[in-house]
Amino acid sequence: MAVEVDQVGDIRRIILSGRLDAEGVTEVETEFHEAATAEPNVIVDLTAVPFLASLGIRMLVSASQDQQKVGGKVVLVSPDETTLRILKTTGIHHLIPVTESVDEAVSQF
Amino acid sequence: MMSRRVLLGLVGPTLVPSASRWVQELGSEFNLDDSDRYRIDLCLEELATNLVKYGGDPCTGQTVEWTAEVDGRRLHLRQVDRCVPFDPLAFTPAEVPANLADLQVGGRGIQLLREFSDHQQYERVDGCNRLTLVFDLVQPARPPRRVEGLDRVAIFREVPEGLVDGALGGPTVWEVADDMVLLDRGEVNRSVLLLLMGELRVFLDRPEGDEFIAMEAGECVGEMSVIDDHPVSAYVQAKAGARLLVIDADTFLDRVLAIPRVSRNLISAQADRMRRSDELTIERMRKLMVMEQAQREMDFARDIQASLLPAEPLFSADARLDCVGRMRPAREVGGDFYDVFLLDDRHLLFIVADVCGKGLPAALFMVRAIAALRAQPREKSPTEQYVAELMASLNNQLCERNPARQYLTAFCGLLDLDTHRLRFVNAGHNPPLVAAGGTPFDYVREPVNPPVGMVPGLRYATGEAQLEPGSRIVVYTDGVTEAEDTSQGMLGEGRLRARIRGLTEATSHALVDAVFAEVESFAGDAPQSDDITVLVIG
Repeated sequence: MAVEVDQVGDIRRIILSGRLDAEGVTEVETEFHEAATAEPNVIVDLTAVPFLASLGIRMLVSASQDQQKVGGKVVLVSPDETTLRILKTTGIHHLIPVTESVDEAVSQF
Repeated sequence: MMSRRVLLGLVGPTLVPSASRWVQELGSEFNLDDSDRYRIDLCLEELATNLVKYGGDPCTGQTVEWTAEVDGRRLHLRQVDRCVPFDPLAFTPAEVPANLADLQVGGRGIQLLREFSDHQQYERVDGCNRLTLVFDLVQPARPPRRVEGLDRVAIFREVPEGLVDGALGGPTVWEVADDMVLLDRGEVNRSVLLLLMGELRVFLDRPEGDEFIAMEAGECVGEMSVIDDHPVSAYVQAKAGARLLVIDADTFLDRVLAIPRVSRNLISAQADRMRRSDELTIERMRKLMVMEQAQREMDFARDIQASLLPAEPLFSADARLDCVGRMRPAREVGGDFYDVFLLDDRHLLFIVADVCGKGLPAALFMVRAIAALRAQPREKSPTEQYVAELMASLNNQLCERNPARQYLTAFCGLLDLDTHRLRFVNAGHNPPLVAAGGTPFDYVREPVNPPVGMVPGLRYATGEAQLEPGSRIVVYTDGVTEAEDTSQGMLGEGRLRARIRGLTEATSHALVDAVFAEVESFAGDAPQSDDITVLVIG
């Protein structure tokens, strides 16, 4: 599990790669939270995340809630089909924007 | 044909990763579609996380059994655990709130289980949670391949593959994620376990002991109890990473054993097992015999030691004397000794000594000391320096050839029965209690000298005391004053003196009894680590 940070214009993008299962979350939780809440507004790119479970959802929600507190938000980008279904099943997509592409994500801010 | 794969794990930190690896194996074994792999992986991940994170303490360390049964387009995943009753199907997840800030992050896992499996069933049976999730597969599962490692199984040696596969039908394979006991001694067993990979340990006495028979891939267990229908005779523990093929009793008895070559292989495997078990038994017998031999030798040494002490009663024919000695060794043999004898008609020599250390080494040094002491010239009409010279000579002899640097403390006295003059040497020993002329017992502490056997060429200072007819000298070893009670307190000199202080008219026998009674009442049930010796001269 790895956390990479880059910029898309003015917006910070975090690229997660690896399985967001119990093991993966334990590995990157702290690093991810710091990166995702360092400044208002962030894109979290899920292209390279082949697996998401409830502990991973918890990690994404926790960062989004902290972003909201400072007036920012988290936008999730390009989850795979099953991952998107997981986000929909849990109702998370109503509260955290999910987009198909990075361009679409940028337009959310 | 149905194929069954089982994962056995313990609730703990390795459970979730083990489950995850197992799903990957299932995926490639049955050639599952990616979306099905994701769903099954997700559900198993949530199940395992639930046990580890929310099962609580009573759940930790419990065995969890996951069974995946694949039949064409369906996969049944069953979880059996002994944790607190929990029906995830009765759980209603919280509504998703309108505002992100109000979202409760927990409880989403169960929602996922229900959404990503196609049918669910929960029951509580025999103290177990039994949850079954059914997955309708996107594409039919690949029929089970031949189980890897079957060609190494001893009971199938030289049996055509087709015969084996036909007899086994749809195989059941267990993966063992953590060290665990698979068969308990005394339990009824209904399956034969063939070890395909990893290690099994067979314990005859108790699990986790040092003595076990290690079984390697290709061997089998449980076949005896299946054949004779008796309870299992040993504990069988699997090491983490073991993989086993499990054959139920009926299949084994009716179909596998029906292959003639299998029966022959089984008997040959049994013979090998018996040989190994015999070796273990013989080794245990040998150890036991060595211990018994050592015990006999210790008993023998104790008898020898007891025979070295002067015979009781002492001087029963001599009306002038009332002397009593008693020794109680802490172990079978000890390092205390005492001796008392007349040098001539009027001079009584007595000694109480305590060799440092305990057990056989101390006893051997004691024997050496007694031999040296008794070999000293017994001078009639001894001079005033006799006791000091005796101890100096004993000291020099014991210093020679003493590589283990053993030594002893001693109180040695010479009593003139006509004048009642006592001359004594105290070589690092406990001070005796003396009652002379009706005064209460008190310690005689001076002069003190170093112990015997440490430094050659020593000169010993002699002490003197004027006694009277009826006076008593109580000499003892530190086993008395250092007797321990159950809270490790020591009896001490004060308590000893208080006990016998006023017993100035008591016989020597009564005094010895009083000292031992004090030790016993003080020590209670605490085991005594030192020899206890008392000699009363009167």
